[in-house]
Amino acid sequence: MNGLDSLSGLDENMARKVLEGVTTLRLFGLSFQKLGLESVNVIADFIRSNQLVEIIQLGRDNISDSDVLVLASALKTNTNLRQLDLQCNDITEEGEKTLLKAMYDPTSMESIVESNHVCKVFTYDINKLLIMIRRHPIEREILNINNDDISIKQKIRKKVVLALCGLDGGLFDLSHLNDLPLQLMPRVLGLIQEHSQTRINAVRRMPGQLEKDALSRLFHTLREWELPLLFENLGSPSAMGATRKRRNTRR
Amino acid sequence: MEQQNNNQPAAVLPRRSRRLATIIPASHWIGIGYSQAQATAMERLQNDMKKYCDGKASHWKDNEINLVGKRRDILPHHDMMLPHWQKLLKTLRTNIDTIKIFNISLPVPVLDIIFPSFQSLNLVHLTLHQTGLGSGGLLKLSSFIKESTSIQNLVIGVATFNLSVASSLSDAIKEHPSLERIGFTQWT
Repeated sequence: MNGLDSLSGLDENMARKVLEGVTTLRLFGLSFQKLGLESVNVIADFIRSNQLVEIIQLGRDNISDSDVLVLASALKTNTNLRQLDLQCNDITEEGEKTLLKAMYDPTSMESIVESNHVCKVFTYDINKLLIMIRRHPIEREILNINNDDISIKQKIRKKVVLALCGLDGGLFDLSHLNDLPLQLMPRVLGLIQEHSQTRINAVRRMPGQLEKDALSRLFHTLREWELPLLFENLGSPSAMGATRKRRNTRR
Repeated sequence: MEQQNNNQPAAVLPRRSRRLATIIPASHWIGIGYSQAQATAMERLQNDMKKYCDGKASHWKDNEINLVGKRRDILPHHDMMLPHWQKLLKTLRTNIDTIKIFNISLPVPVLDIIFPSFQSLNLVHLTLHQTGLGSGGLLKLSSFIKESTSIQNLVIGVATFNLSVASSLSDAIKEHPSLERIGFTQWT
């Protein structure tokens, strides 16, 4: 029998059909397929639907920067996926930035909270140390944070601190902290100190790549800041509500 | 590449080979139209199968069968290989839980031999990479997956899809009791 004539590459209908069966699997891989945007859309819908699958491998699938936009958007609503492997595709630096933004968007406090905090998204072999040390420090840290076995709230805090301390962080405008209750500030500063130590250790291993003292960086930021403005919203109901929510969670 | 290598001249299967699955030398394969590289690979494949049958493949893992055909290409099937497949599968030890087949054409007649044998094992990992599975082969594979209660990891090289293949695979993996990982690959 010869089935070649009736067979073709994986199109969106076939991709949808196959993915309908991926209900209890932990890993789903699809590689060396010439996926078009339509098929990538189907995969993005699958990711968006937050199925139980923990690892998706899409290596060598001709995925481009425009496909990445769709995948990155889908990641924001997924809380089960632990790894999205996009190695050896046609993804440029721009696409990589889009993917990083899905895990860490330091534009505002809200955008950090709404980022994906559980999935490691990568376009290269993360198991190879030589490749990893060439990546941007922020990217490495985000992958580490998303990989950490800590609560989502702790991850968000770490990302906020990273945004405050990192060179590429977008939270130097501390008005983003206006809604935070004053009681949280020691915690934030503590985390910055902790983060600072991590970075100092990292600098010892890779001199010149990371800032030496994140705490002093924050100090410089605060020195130029009008402190009363930082805390002016402390009495707002939203801030109190946030505090209550945190207490409830601790219980 | 689909299934059987129909371009090969129909060779008469030597009676002794048919019965005992003796090694057919490369020269014989060349004589029936195989290239030098293919013929060498055919002889090596038979030797590898024999080592597994004799329990002498000690350089591999005890619980694993790993058969590799030709580098880069798919080694075409010939019916003269059927006795070798039969013998290999007849002598499979029950501790085998991993089977990996690379770059060897597995037409439906071979699949008809191997899948029932695989079902009798507690097969956990199955890799069929570059095995030229066409729609018939993929439908057989779907049935195998559906019936298996031990398979956990599956790597399938699929050169081509159609909707009925996609449906049958989807149906086979849906709510599967043991399957955890599935990877579809394709070399172009």
